[in-house]
Amino acid sequence: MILYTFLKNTDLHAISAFDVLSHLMGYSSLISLKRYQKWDLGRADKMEVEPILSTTYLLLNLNKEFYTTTPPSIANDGSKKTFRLEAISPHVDAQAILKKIQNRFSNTVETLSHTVIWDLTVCSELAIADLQEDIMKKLVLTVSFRQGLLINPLLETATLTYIPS
Amino acid sequence: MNPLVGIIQFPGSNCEYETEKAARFYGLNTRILRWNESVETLSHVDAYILPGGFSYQDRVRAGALAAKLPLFDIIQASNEKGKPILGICNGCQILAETGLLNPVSNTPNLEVALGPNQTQDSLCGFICDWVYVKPMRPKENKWTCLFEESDCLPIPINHAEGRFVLSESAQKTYASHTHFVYCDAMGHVCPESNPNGSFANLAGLSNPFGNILGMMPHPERASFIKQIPTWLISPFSDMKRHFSQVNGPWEKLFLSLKASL
Repeated sequence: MILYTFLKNTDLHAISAFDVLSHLMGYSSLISLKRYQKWDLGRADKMEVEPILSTTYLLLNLNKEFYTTTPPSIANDGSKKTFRLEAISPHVDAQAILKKIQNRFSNTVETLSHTVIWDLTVCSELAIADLQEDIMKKLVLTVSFRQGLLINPLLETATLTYIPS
Repeated sequence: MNPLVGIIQFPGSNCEYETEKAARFYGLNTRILRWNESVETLSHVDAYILPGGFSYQDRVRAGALAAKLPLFDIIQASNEKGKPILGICNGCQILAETGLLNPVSNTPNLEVALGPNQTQDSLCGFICDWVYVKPMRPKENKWTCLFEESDCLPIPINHAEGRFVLSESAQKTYASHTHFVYCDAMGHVCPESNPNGSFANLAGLSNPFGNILGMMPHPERASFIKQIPTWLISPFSDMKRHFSQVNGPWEKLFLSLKASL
């Protein structure tokens, strides 16, 4: 089962990142930036996962977050293109959380992985491959003073894929 | 006129006033400058201190957003002129994100990052504690030229992301420049004295030209003897217990800068 978790309130990280990328770093073709988390719980089903979600804060806090089991839909049209950046965060220790779940819920979940997802929508006439390279270089990988923001390659690994409508 | 030390206040900085108090006590002419002051004001500064805190609430990553501010065009130009630049805690994280804290070359490429604290491969969260550090090759940096390699200095740390991660090329070059390492109370550098899993016990780093220093511990919080707890194993604690009228262990940081300006 895969869970996608979203903040109920405004995501200040995404708002600030969007502002920096589009204004301070001058990438004006970026028109939307959304951030959410993905938890892959392996073969566990909804019946097994429900008690974890409703009685603990291990995967999410239902007061502040909501979840879906399908990724958000994308509505690309014409020059509007969406890319999904999936990054392994150094701030979340999925194996430590898995141990806590297994201790408390008698091994209902066998595997657990966590990634942070950024959906970047850009308005551009560039070909998909060129655009993907451009985004990776200018917005994603922080390699120098004025280049990249979302991922620090010394700490994180990430993949960027084009999401068709 | 005394050279001016600019202490940069970002949205979310919280150590600028105590940094200024320590710097002024040791005879520096300081001014707290907001991150969005005019280019002229920010340029007419002889040394910069980026203080600790939580700039932009640590959004995206600690220091990541502040590192993209236009201010860093000015600081980068000042770096090229050899002006001293010190980053403390969040300031060190910002310097790492700008690429200015680069032990390899004078180009602003990311060679150093500050990762989440770890002990034995698991995350250990925020650490607020007193530790000991010792300077290595202190004579080669403008901020540390009055320190000795034999110094073992108590200092507080307050961070969640203070684990130095170095690129392959930085791992080869950092040791030939000034750096601080975590040690025990006797000055021995060992894995047990590393509080956060930092590469090679690193607590602070210099650039190859000796004008930039980034350090995760807070020297401004150990600049006066009254700030040192009496329970530490340190000559400074002994002196405090005996009511000796001496200055704090990090006096030399500010006096080094004064001597360099």
